[in-house]
Amino acid sequence: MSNLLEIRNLSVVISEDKRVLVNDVSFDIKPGEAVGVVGESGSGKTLSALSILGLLARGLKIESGEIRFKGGDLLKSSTDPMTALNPVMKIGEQLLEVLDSHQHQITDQKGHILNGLAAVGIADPNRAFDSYPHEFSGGMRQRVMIAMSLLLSPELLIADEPTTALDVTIQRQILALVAKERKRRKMSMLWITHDLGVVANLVDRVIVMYAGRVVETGTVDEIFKAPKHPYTAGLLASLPAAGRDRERLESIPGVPPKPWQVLNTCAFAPRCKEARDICSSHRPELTSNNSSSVACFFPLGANQ
Amino acid sequence: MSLSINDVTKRYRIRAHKSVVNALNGITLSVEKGRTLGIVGESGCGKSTLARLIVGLEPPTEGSLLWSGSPLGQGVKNTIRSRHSKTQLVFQDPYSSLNPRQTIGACIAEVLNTHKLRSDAEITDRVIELLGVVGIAADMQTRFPHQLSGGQRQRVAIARALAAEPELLVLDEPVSALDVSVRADVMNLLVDLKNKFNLTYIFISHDLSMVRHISDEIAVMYLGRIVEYGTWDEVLNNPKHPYTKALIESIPEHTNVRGIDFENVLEGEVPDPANLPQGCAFHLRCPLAVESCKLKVPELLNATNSHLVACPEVLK
Amino acid sequence: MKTATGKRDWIHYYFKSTSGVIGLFLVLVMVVLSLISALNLAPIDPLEQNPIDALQGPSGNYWFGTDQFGRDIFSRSIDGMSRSLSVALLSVGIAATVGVFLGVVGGFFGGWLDNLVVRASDVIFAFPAILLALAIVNSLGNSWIDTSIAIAIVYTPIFIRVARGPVLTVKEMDYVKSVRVLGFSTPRILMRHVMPNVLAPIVVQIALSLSWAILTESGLSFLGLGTQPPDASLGLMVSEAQALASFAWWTLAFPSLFITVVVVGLNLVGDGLRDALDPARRSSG
Repeated sequence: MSNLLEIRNLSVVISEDKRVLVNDVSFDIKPGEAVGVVGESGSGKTLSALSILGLLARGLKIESGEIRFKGGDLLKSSTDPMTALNPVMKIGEQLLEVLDSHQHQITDQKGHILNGLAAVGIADPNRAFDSYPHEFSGGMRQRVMIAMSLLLSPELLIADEPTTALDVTIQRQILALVAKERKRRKMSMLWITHDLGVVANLVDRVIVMYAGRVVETGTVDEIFKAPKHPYTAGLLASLPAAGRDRERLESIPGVPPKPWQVLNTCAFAPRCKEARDICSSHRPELTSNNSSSVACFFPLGANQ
Repeated sequence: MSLSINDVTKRYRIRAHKSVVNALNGITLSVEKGRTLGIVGESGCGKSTLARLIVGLEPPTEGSLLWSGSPLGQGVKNTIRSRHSKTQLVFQDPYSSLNPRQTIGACIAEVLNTHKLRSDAEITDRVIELLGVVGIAADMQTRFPHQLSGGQRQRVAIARALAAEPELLVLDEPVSALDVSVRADVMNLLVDLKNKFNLTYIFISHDLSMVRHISDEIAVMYLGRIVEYGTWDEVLNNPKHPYTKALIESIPEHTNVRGIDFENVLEGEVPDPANLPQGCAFHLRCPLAVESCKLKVPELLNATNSHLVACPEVLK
Repeated sequence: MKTATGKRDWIHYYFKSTSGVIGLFLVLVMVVLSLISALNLAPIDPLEQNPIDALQGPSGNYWFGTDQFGRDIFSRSIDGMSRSLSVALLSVGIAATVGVFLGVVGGFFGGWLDNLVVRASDVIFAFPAILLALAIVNSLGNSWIDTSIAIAIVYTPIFIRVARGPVLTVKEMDYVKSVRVLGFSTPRILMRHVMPNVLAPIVVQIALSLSWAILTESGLSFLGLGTQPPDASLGLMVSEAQALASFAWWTLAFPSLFITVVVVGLNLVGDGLRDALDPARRSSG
């Protein structure tokens, strides 16, 4: 099966001083596949997504690497980011604007929008069409944004922390909606978040980023049930969960480094329980094994 | 010694809309010394308002708050100073809770100075001691907040609260703004400090997994009222109130891959606190709602000795 | 920048800005000239009349030429500058002190006091500045202190606004709430935790207001309500030179130049301070 999206050796730097923020990142998304990118702030997960969309902020630039969509250049209308709504425009106008700015064969534009709003659970699409974003709650605005992203039936939906600001019961509504629409449309998805719980419940495959690099990839079962990278394992162990010891959390000492501070060693070595000499002198490359890959000299669960 | 909150109500008048918001409605709670009460609920449930009342940033509209029998919070201005050492607050966002123009050493020293908790000669030693207690090296004291990481800032905020020698610490989402990999460290620190200084905690969070980790008792709030209260085990492993159940089911657990139920989702939105429905505030979303729920606000009644629920339907 | 303290930082950034350095230079030149006059070190007495030398162009004796009474325009210009700066400093001093006090107290405490302060400053704002100053000078008198008080009244509301806005923001910040919970006294919170974080816009406003105050003083004198003859004032000199300028350009040019230089200088200083004091305009340290 050919890939829908291929990212090869993507590096993003600060234009001014060439400090590296995303370092040699490669991954694929297959048609219909939901991929989650997890990492902490500064891990490069958001910048990778913005690079795909060509939305890097001024002062940042793609230093090297290729982004191929269906083997060719990226078609903007085929990948829609869940962005923010403009507070001073009516929701209907904003949705019409999306249609106007892309090529499509939709004749009844308003009808198409009203259907789209109804599909994401907006009770009164006609009223919503003539409302401003502030007239809606956070959860409802998120639904409108989803409707907006889906208007042009994208093959790939890219979402960056879309539910972090929502309450958990509302988050579940939104996640359920996204899961349903994805299934119905056989759409691919790139879901970027720091919330491991969301990823475990929403996606097929997971990419773990740390200090600007991919440190581990695998199916959701591989990552959450048998993590190979000590960072992934440490992170999962540090979170409280039902049925876990309440006295003590397994903590990871220290803080994540800046991506540009570690170029030729394992970025996680100073915080790693498994680290040996080689980890602070050489950089482990991402090595694949079937469906998973890990960038570690001493991956967990490997035969010694 | 204990904290007792007796039938506390807090109303805000919103002039622009000429309306009144009931942020808290008849809250009654008590916390024994040395225990941790977890308060969980979604936005608008009143948990942060309750925090502000406990530390005296605002007075209650009705009701009283007592710490070991002496009143807290009648007219903020007069009482806040006298009880500085009893209750302290740690905020969610360590980026905004420290004065950006003060070194971290100065910000702790100021607390000791203002309340004459140490003589001038002892202040430097005490600052270093407090920083040490929260795991910050002494040579960091000349740094400004923007030179520290989020986790370090939150440690400094905790050290500053401890400088006032509190008995009760209100923790309002203390790890929510931190990076995932440093949360565990700060949570462990909080547990250590509680044991070391025999503190009482009120731990407020929307994150049920953190509340579950640290709490002895848990109160679940919805729109200004407590809907369920009990030991952590009773509330989380044997939830009674339909809202508590929905809340627990809504947490995406990383230990339970693809385990979340996307079919039976609690629908509806949280009503506007300024325009609450009659009767039980949850009845519009509740799967168990019957006619009587629309008429009368349910009382918090005993399910067992230590487990209280505000839902007559589950108590039948 | 690990060792740099917050206080030193802004000076460092100020001197990185070209406009700030030029502005400071222009202002310093004017201040030095004013001091020369104030200490009676001017080459020629500004009031001394030499009818024989009336309306002479610039020369070695009279650097800026003479007016219709044969008075030295250089000496009169620096004397006028010294008077303008005195009025500006006193009026802005009063306006900033009163305005910042009312703005900070009103913003921090809110309630009826804040309402009163805001309404009163709205009323003053409703009048054009120069007209209001005219009316006040008319009722107070013509001494330089009266002029200063008039200008101070006109500019106080600006300081109220500049101080009050940031206070409303800062008082809601968690670090102010924290120190309230820590039981610090209100004066201490205001002085140590609120003021340092609202100072930047106030400092910028002081520089800009000084230049406006000089213009207003000149305007009042031009209209005959500020400094009275025979005392020198830049505005008065410009006013008297109107009739002479067609055949004795120096009578108008030099006082006008002085006004321009000091106003431009103070504006550049204001810009430089704004850039230096605003952390968002600097690269992160």
